[in-house]
Amino acid sequence: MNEMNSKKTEQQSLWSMIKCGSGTAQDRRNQYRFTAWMLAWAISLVAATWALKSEFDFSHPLDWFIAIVPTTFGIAGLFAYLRFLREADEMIRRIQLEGLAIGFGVGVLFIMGYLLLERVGAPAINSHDTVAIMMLAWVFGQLMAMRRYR
Amino acid sequence: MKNRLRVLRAEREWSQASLAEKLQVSRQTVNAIETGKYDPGLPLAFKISRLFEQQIEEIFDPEEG
Repeated sequence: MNEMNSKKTEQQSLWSMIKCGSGTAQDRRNQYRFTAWMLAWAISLVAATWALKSEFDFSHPLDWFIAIVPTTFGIAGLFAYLRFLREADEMIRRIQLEGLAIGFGVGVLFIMGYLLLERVGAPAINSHDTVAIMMLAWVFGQLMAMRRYR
Repeated sequence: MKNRLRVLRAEREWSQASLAEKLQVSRQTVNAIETGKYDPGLPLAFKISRLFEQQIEEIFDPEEG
């Protein structure tokens, strides 16, 4: 049986790449590991923010512990991402590089641009908004690169 | 850069997935190389060269594309 399919049928859809992950089996395992740590980070960040704002009377050392836990998960996520990048298929590395370039670039341009807008009366934004914009731009950059190389 | 990867693969009746498995890369990488959207790095180019038992310059042509 001729295993070779047509170019059209072999082109992976963007949705299937998002849904099933892209790269080799090892890349997917590393992606899942990174995603799990980042989910733990996000959930613990929300929980810690809520707990530290609440009326509960935590003892002082417990306050510190609650404040530190999300960062611990975040650091684990960072190491998982570095491992993913180091072991990734070279195309996946390229996609990630483009995603990071767009995320970082949009973030810096947004921060610097918005500082000027604030001077002419735009409402002030906090650092959380800036981080959210950088992360969204990172995801957007990855999607654009995935689309280009699919 | 143009390459003959699709032709060489077709001659052996391999799918992109099976070639990707042999090269230990993703199918997406094989597809991107075949369509000229991505030029592989040296280690992958050597792997391709060894797999098809041809010189790198017989597979990849830097003058075209």
